[in-house]
This record gives sequence, structure tokens and C-alpha cells, in this order.
Amino acid sequence: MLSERDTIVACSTPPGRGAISLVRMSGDKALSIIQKITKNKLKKQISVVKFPLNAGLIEKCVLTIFRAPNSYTGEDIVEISTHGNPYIVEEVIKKCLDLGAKIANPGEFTLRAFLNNKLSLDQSEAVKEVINANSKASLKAAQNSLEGGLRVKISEVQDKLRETRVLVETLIDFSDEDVNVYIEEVISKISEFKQFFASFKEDMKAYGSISNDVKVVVIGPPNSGKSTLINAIIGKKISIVSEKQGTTRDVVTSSCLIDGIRFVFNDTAGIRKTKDKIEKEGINLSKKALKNADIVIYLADKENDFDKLPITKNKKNIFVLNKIDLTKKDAPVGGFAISAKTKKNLKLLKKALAHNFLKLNQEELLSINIRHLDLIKKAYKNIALISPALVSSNLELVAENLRNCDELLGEIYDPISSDDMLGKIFNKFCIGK
Amino acid sequence: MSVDIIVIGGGHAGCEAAYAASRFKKKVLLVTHDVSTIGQMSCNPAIGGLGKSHLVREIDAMGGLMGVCADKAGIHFKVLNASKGPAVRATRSQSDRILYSNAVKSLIDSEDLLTSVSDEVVDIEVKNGKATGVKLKNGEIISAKKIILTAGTFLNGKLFTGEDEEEGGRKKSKSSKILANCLRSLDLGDARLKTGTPPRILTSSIDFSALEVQPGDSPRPCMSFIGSSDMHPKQMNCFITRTNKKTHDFIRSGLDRSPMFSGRIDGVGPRYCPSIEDKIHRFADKESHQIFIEPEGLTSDEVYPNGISTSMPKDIQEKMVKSILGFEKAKISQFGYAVEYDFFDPRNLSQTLETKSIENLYFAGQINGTTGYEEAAAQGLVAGINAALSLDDKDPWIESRGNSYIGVLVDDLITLGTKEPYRMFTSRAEHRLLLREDNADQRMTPYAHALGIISNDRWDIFQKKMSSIDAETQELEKIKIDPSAFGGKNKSKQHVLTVLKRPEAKLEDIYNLIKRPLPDKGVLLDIETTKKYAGYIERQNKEIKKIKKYENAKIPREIIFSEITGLSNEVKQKLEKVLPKTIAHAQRIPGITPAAISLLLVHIKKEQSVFKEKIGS
Ligand SMILES: Cc1cc2nc3c(=O)[nH]c(=O)nc-3n(C[C@H](O)[C@H](O)[C@H](O)COP(=O)(O)OP(=O)(O)OC[C@H]3O[C@@H](n4cnc5c(N)ncnc54)[C@H](O)[C@@H]3O)c2cc1C
Ligand SMILES: Nc1nc2c(ncn2[C@@H]2O[C@H](COP(=O)(O)OP(=O)(O)O)[C@@H](O)[C@H]2O)c(=O)[nH]1
Ligand SMILES: [Mg+2]
Repeated sequence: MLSERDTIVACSTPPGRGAISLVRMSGDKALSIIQKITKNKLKKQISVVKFPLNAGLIEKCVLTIFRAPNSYTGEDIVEISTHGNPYIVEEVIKKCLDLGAKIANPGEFTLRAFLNNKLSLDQSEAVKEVINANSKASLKAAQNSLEGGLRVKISEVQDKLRETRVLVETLIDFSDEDVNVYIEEVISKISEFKQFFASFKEDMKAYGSISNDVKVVVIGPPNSGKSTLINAIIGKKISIVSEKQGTTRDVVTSSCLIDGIRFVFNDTAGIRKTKDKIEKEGINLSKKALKNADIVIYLADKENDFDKLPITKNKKNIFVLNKIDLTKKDAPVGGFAISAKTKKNLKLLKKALAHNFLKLNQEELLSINIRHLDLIKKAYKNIALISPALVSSNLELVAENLRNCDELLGEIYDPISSDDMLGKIFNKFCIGK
Repeated sequence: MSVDIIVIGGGHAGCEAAYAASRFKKKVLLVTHDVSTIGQMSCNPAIGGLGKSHLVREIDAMGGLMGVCADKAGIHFKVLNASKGPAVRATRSQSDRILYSNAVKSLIDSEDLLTSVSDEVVDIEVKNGKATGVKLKNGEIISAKKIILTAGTFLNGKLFTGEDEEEGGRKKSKSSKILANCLRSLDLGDARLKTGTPPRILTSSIDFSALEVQPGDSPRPCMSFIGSSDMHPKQMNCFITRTNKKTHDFIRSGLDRSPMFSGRIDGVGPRYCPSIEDKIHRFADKESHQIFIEPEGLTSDEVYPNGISTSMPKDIQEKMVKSILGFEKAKISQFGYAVEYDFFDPRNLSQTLETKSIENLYFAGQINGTTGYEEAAAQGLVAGINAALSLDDKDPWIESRGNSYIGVLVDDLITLGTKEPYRMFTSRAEHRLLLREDNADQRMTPYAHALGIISNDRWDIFQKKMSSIDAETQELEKIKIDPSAFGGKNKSKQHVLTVLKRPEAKLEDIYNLIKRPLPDKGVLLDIETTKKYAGYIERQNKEIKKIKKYENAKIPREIIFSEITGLSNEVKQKLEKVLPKTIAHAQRIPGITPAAISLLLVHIKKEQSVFKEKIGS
């Protein structure tokens, strides 16, 4: 749990040896502790000081001071840059602890930033993403979110939603006034919003795939060349390639960057009827992988084989015919004919993988996590439930669905009050007798 | 002289307060300028309407005056939002002004322990932070254990018509200047608000033949749970007309002489009840505004033209009225005016409407920044009941937002305060679907019964309704019907209550189909709504449960908000102003972020080992 008045300290650089390490201390006492240790008056924001360690040793280090509230956490912060030696770091931290600081819990600096209103919830989440990003795209997404991009995007959606809420609430609370709002207008506004929200939801899902890496599952009959294909895309040998059917029994994952986006490939056991226990296990694993996939590649070396594969809905499916180096084959409709062995047409397939994500405006990528997607999904459900019949018979239930949608979106960062809502009504309509 | 409770003011707040308190067998004195104006409707003779009828129903469910009096005086009844679901339907009644005030007076007179006198209170006696009595105009002091102030628009009231300006609480009533100045010295945070009223027109001078008629509903709804249409007097029609370009031109030509636009009124007016000059100014492209012509009573020769509230100079009022269809030969019997008055920041009140700084002193009605009879009456009821409960050393009556509009009203006032005259809307209630006007009795009457303040008749009617709902539901559960009659595709028969969930299905039709005699309308509606709303009700109940956790998380009285590190000064000030009693209450204060709440929780946990309420972290 959080501790309220404590000054916290921790090493902010990874453990181990390096050129420098950075120890960060935040809280009411941060300045006075460092003053006591270094006898420095801390007049300058950056200063080189002598930091006495145990047994008469002295470490020369750089202090950077950020005063509250203009700091990451909103509290006084001191950053101590030392030589990158774990022993020195340990000693520096010990000294601070002796004078009353506490070891920071994981994430506690960010937590304080959140508690002190320096970051909103979605921004706090983005901090972690900035640190964990492993592709150009996911880093850009995290940075955008950290700068409040998600909030702006959600607000856009909410603004649109509130246009409709204003109409609905006006029809309910001011039905005895001549405000000239009609049910038909509400119905068309809602269907317009439904479409808008559906495509917003798809975008968010795509952003989510980028932030959490795009998951690709390759499915196909045994020996169609799944492992070979993945090796060819990744460019190194990961899956076992063999001529005996059913060699790949675990789901083997490996990743690579395509156009700045990180793709994770799941190689699966071929899907077929089998009595082999271990292989069965493997097939079950593949089915699970399928569920979490963003993209599914169906790989076969005979056109007829596609019909035998379990085709999933609601995913991006790519159909690929392999081994064109052996016999000439036409690409399946909307798909590709390739050779995993000679890498013929492999580039086309790679482009197709990235296509959906490159379509997104790369400057506006956002860091989307499962919490966000879950809220967006629930919010959408509320909208999807509204039928024209419901608008005509029970407008108050429509209002309730819209309010729920608004609140779920707001949970991503911030809710709206009923008074704000009324304010919008009064600004828009001439009301009152 | 000494009594248990003194109520100052015989308006809608004061009457409910005095009546409720006397039901607790307290000796109550109602002091008002003129007892003949008890129960007077200062403005529009209408009771109920959107958001407001919910309040009336709740007051009625608690055994209050307003619903019953509206039935005794109602000359025109309508259900608004009839084409929408039951949660947002609202009954509106037009009263005969004289019958209404008579009905209130006779109920007030029927209470033996309640005495009313015509007098003016000029000061409130305060000793050691406690109110102990009131001073009358002649200097006499009457002591009391509790004092409820419901002075309405009378505190430093000022009336404006064009360039004319006079003191008064409403037309033909003096304002309470001395009391207002005394109250100002108590430092309770006063400010100015304003409202207005339209000119009244002589019925005999209107050409109704040109106007659209608006009859009341048939069958006729009732305001009270114990009301019936037999109680209603003879019914009258309303009419509709509109302003036009000429009307607007006349108004524009006089704007510079309007007290609103020349800056002589500082008070803030309600956005939802603007004057006609306001409407024309703010919505310049609107070419015409609707006017409801409402009769003031069976014997009255005046109508109330609803929609043209104004404080324009008299000559302009004259011209604009005559430019309107049907009013060509209109005679104005009383000119429209604006009234500006003091109100007190309701954030200085606790949930019982007792002032935080002066014990035993309660504020209710328009002085708390509200507008409307219903809002005033609801507060009067809250103050009256709580003053009496406190005298008996009993737990206070505190309504939650999830249980009633009264809960929403009080919570909004004491938490958010108000910048304009506050009026109830259904959209203010986040649990709107649970708070129907037709189930206010289920939400509140059992509690009122436990307090012993409702009549046996009312309790019997309520119990009969409830057992009928149970019995009918049980019977219906046994019956299966063919769903195809209601758009269902299933071929096999289904339970009646399952079929009822279909949007097309009406319970009344089902009764006809199964040839079962129809129960009371209220019973029918309740069974139908409970089924149709089922999923939504469940969701809202879940929400309420979630909030309850925080509602139960008390903030200890001793807490000093300014000592909580990490909170911004702005947040600290807000918390100190409202002094929330629970975490849930603190959450509702505008500008209090989730982060601030976390800090508050941490602080409480740390400082108070006694803080045992479990709150998820
Ligand atoms: C001109 C005007 C226009 C309005 N327009 C609208 C409208 O369009 N829509 C709407 O919903 N509401 C309107 N209202 C508001 C509505 O009338 C009030 O909200 C409601 O009546 C308030 O009830 P109350 O009990 O708080 O006060 P009131 O009904 O004002 O009653 C106050 C009572 O206290 C008495 N009193 C005051 N001071 C003293 C004292 N010192 N000693 C003894 N007795 C005292 C007065 O005599 C009076 O009887 C209007 C009011 C006015 C005056
Ligand atoms: N000629 C040819 N052989 C291929 C191609 N792709 C895979 N193979 C071969 O097909 C066999 C099965 O490949 P593998 O990747 O293990 O198939 P998996 O069971 O689907 O994973 C191996 O011998 C591969 O060398 C291709 O494009 N052309
Ligand atoms: Mg393989």
C-alpha cells in the first residue's frame, strides 16, 4: 500500500555495472537528506558533489534537483548520478535510508505522480509502456499516450456521444417545451454513432495489437511448411523443420520487426486427427493460440486443404499456398502463392501482414492495453443494444445505455456530471416558460 | 412563550415542515407574515411536471401535504412523457389557486399541536452557537428547541418592472429586510438570485376562438397515492398561442430599459426558466416561442400566460402582449416582474438541513437556492422530520441518491451548492430507472409508517397494493400463453412474465387474452415495469451496492483536511467547505479527483486505527 509522508528512494537504472547509475529520491525530505549528506546548499539545479560513502570512501557524483511541484512525482526530487557500480549504488541508497528515506516499491514514483495529479490514469499506464516498448510503433504509441493522446481521442468519442445524449435528455426532461427535437433525429444520430464507434473500436484494437505486439498464428496441415515459412520470415532457425508429420508439438513463438511493428509468430502443430497424446496437447495449444491471434495465416500446399481447416471469424485471415517451386499454383482469392523454401513472393506476404497497421496514422498511434479494450468493448455493447424500437418505446432505457457508455469510456480517465449535461442542453436549446 | 419547534414562513417549505413536525406530536408554532397567504402559489398555479412530480409523489409517500392538496385543487391533469417508459413519466396538475391554499390551510388547522400566527420574525436568538428562539416585530421573544427558517424569496426581496423598483417578497407582500440583515451578520454565506413572473391577463379579454385547445388527460391521473379523481373539482382547458416577429420587435425596442440588461439586477436567474427578453436575446434566430395559457382557477378571471415571464417596462409589456394571437384586446391585470432575493449557500448545511455553524437552526426552501414549490416542499419535509427526530434523540432521516429524488436534491445542494436557482430534472438522478413516480410509496411509505407519521388509511392502501402485486405476480407465474400474439417467434407456449419482456407486450393486453379481471392500475404498472426493466434494475442496484461500500466508509469527525499532505490547496478548501461525512460524499464534490480520494483513504487509515470499514484499495 502507499505510504503517505515517506520520502522514497530507489535505483532507477538497471542493476549491474555500467558507465553510470542513477539513484532517485522523492518526497518532503529528499532535499534535506541530500543536504545533510553532501553539505551542499543545492542552489543550482545541477551540481557536482562529494558523496561520502562508508569507511572514508568518497564518491563524486552529479545531483539534479527538481523542486515540487515541478517534478515527475510532484514532490521534491533529487537524482544522484554515480559511477555504474552496484556497490556504490547500494552505499548511496543506504546513506539515504539512514536519514529517514524508505525504499520505493515498484512503480511508486509513477503512483505518486498519479496521486499528485501530475499524470492521469491512462498516462500513468503509458509510462510503463514507454519503458517496455520494443518497436518503433509501440514506442510512438506509448509516447503519444503519455502526452495525453488517449484522453484526447476518448474525449472526441465522448463529445460525439454527448451530442446524442443531449438530444435524448432534452426529449426526456423538456418534452413539454417546443425544442424541436424529434425521435427520428435521435434514431439517425444513434445509428451514425454506432458506425463511428465500431470503426473506433477496430482502430483501438489495432492500436492494442501494436502496443502488445501483433500476434500471428500459422495454421495448416502437417508438412505444409509452417515452420519453414516462419523461419523464412524471421530469418533464423527456430522451429524444427522435418519431413515426419507432426514434429512441432509445442506452440513455438518468435518475433521480428516488419516496418517498425513487432510481430510475434506462433508455430503450431498441424491440425489433424491424431491419437498421439503429446500431439493432441499440441493441437489444443494451437487452438488457444488461435483465440489470442490478431492475424491467422492458413498455410497449405494443396488448394483443397483449406476446406479442412477451422476458419475463424472476426480475425484477419490470410490464405497462403506454399511450395510453388515444386508445382505452379495460382494464389487463392485474396491470398498468396509462395515458396517458403526459395522465399518467392515472401515480401508480398510480409507487406500484407503489416498492411492493416501501416494503414493507421503512424503519428497518432496510441498505447492501448487490455483494460482499455475491455472498457471500450463494454461501452460498445451498450450502444449495440439500442434498436430503433427501443428509442420509440423506452427512451429512458436508451438514455441509460448512453450514460453507461459514457461512463465506461470515462473510466479510461474521467467521468462527466449530470450538471455538465444540463449545461449543454441549456446552451443548445431555448428552454423555459 | 415556549414551543418545541418554530417554523418561520408559511410557504410550501414552511407548511410541510410544520405539518410533518406536528405529526411527531411536537408543539409547533408557524409564524408567517399573514396566515391568510398560507399555501399561496407565488407564481404558476401548477404542481408536478418533469422531475417535480417525482418529488411530489415522495412527499406524499411520506404523508406530506402537497399531493393531497393538488388533488383537491386540481382543475387540469396531464401525464407528460406518456409515450416513454414509466421511470420518466410525470404527472402535472393545474390548480385552482384558492382551492389549493384552502386545502393546505385546512390540513394545517387539523393538527391540534400546530398553531399558526400572523407576525414577522425580525431576528433569530443564538446563544453559544445554538439557536434558542426568535424575536417578533414587537420585540417579544419566543423560545424553541428547534427553528426552521423558510423565508422564500422574501429576504431583502426586490421587485423590478422596467425602471421601477420596489421592496417586496412577491407582489402585494413586503420583504423581510430586518431579518435578512440579522442573518447576514451570522455569516452564513449569502448571495443573490433572481426569478421572474409573467403578466396576468383577464380571461374575459382573450379571444379563445383563435387558439389551440389543450384538454386534460382522460382518464385523469392523480397526484397522491391516496387520491382519486372523485376528489378533483370541475376540470378546465388550457390553450396554446405563440409569440411572433412583432412581439420580438417590441421587446427588442425596450431592452435598454430592462433591469436585466441595464445591469440593475446582479442576481443570477435560472437558465431553464429565462424571461422572454432573455430568450429573444440568446436565441435570436428563433422566430416564435410557445405560450401555454393556464387558468388560475374556477372562479378567477385571470390566466397565467406561461412562457413570457418578463420584467420589461409596463408600456412594452402592454404592446408585446397585444401583438400575440388571441391577446389583441387583452387587459393586463398585473404586470410581470422580476424578483431578486438573498439565498444562503446550502453547502453550509448538513444532510438534515441543519446549519453546520448554528445548532438547532434549519434552512429549507428557496432560501437554499432552489426554485419551485416541489423543491421547497421536499426540503421543508426533510427539515421538519429531522428537527422532530432530533428532539426525540432518534437517528436522522437521510435519503440516499439511490432511493429518492429527495436524496438527490439534498445531496446536490449540500455537496455542489448552486450558482443559479436549482430545479429538479430527472437527468439529475443517476439511478433514474429505480426512482419512478409510481413506486415512491414502495421506496418510502414503510419508513414513514415506522416513524408513525402517516394515517392508517394510507398504510392500508399501501398494504393492499403490495399484497395485490404479490398475489397477481404469483398467479401470472403459473400461466403460459402463446407468445406469437406479441411478436414472439417461439411456437411453444411461454410463461406470461417471459412474454412480458418483449417490447411489444403490454400486461393489460395479456390480462385480456387470459380473460383475467384487471387489478388496480398501480399494480399493473408495477408488475409490468419490474419485468421490462429487469436487466437495467439489476445493473443499477449493482452500481448502488458499489457506491454503498464508500457510503459506509465514514470520514471521522476529527479529521483535519488541511493536514493531509499531497492534497492541493484547492482540494483541501473544497473538503473543508463541505465537510463530507463519508468517502462517497467526498467523491461527489466537484474537483475531487480519484487521486485525492486515495490520499484521503490513506490518511484516514493511518490516522485512525479505529477506521474499520473495509474498502478495497
Ligand atoms: C415572482 C416569482 C416568480 C416565480 N417563478 C417561478 C417559476 O416560474 N417556476 C417555479 O418553479 N417557481 C417560481 N417561483 C418560485 C416558487 O414560488 C418558490 O420556489 C416557492 O414558493 C418557494 O417556497 P418557500 O416555501 O421556500 O417560500 P415562499 O413560498 O416564498 O414562502 C415564504 C413565506 O415566508 C414568509 N416570511 C418570509 N419572511 C418572514 C419573516 N421574517 N417572518 C414571518 N414570515 C416570513 C412569507 O410571508 C411567505 O409566506 C417564483 C416565485 C416568485 C416570487
Ligand atoms: N519444395 C519446398 N519444400 C518445402 C517448402 N516449404 C517447406 N518445405 C518442406 O516441407 C517439409 C515440411 O516442412 P515443415 O516446415 O516442417 O512443415 P510443418 O509441419 O507445416 O511445420 C520440409 O521438408 C520442408 O523442407 C517449399 O516452399 N518448397
Ligand atoms: Mg512444423
